[in-house]
Amino acid sequence: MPSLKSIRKRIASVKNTRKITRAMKLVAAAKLRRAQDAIIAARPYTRALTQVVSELSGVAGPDAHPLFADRGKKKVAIVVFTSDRGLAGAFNANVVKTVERFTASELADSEEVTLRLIGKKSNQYFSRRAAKIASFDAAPTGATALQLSHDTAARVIDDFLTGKVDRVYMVYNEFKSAISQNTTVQQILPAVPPAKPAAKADKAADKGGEHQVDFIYEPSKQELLQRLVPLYVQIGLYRAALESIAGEFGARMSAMESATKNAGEMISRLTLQYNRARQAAITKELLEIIGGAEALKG
Amino acid sequence: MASGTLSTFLGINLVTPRGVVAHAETDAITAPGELGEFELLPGHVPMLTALRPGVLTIGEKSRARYAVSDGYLRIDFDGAVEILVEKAVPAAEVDVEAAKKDLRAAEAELAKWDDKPTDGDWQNLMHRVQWAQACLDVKAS
Repeated sequence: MPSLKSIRKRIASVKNTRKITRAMKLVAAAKLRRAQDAIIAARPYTRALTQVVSELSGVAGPDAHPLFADRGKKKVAIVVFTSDRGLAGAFNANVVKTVERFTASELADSEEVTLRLIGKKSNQYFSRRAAKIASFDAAPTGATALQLSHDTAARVIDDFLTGKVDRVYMVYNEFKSAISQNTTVQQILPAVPPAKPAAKADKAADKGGEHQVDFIYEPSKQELLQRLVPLYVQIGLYRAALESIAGEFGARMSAMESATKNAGEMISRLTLQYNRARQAAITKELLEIIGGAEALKG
Repeated sequence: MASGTLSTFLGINLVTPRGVVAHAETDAITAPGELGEFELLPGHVPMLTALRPGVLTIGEKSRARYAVSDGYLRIDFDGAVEILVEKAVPAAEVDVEAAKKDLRAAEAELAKWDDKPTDGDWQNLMHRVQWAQACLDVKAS
């Protein structure tokens, strides 16, 4: 049986740990709210851009842009979104595992798979293995996500246009709710021209049809697509970055929540053990006194 | 907004990935187009045009100036103007010192580029130069 002092010390240390995990949970919850706001703020932009790209590719034809060209999947690049820091449950492990599984199954007959890593955790994992890493960037934050998605988009688009890669995927944690993230694999290049939303048929009938012809496109439709499709690719990456940020905080929040709960359980178990040990010591001492008194009486 | 009749104002909506920056009604817009700067007045025919990094001015009488980067401007049949750009910063919020520093840093790196291939990283540098220039321009005038 451990001594009273050692149990007391353990209780104090677990209490400290609980304080830390509880604070981390609260911080993650506050940051999560901000990250969710950023996702919502990006929606009008995404919606408008998607609509314009779909309109343009509709009038200019799906073959109008080289970024729409499907060339098979001989050479593939994967953009991997993880976080810089751990203590977020299986958040990073899920992404890394999905990348491994995806390369082993879907991309089994691809000649070359290069990785563009975002977040230190993926770098730690893949740099120790025989993986071809084209670039590594620190995980995005609310302030850097836009720049990071812009730079990453420019890189993969250039790789694609110069024929270094034939297809680009991204793997990230999609934010479902604070307690569930969904690891998603999504193709970013060749870009798939978004289908025209059918729900807006009445609006389209009002504006579209004969009116569509009246629209002035400056410069030409092809050149416009040239400018706008990269933005479309970028916004996809931006959204993934935001989802990954929110997912990280969500995962950390629930991981820290259960850590706090576990610490609480451990404290009550240790307290029970401590009380028992103390009672045993008291009983032992009493017995000794009574035994001594009995002996003197005799 | 009445469609069909000639509208006398422009209902603009300036949107970035970070959210809606400006939503107002105005009398004129000056924007940095792909083929040069242009001014847009009410009653313009429907148009879709690409924008370069530069200075966007909203309004003729009361002016609001923004540094903007790549995007597009689309004017609809009813005079609704949708301006979608990757970045838009009001002139008052531009940090001149930071922009100058960034411009110098990016130009210094471009100077070192020599005959390395002009790949995605090079384009990112070019974009940094253009954006810093746009930030400086919006302050200059």
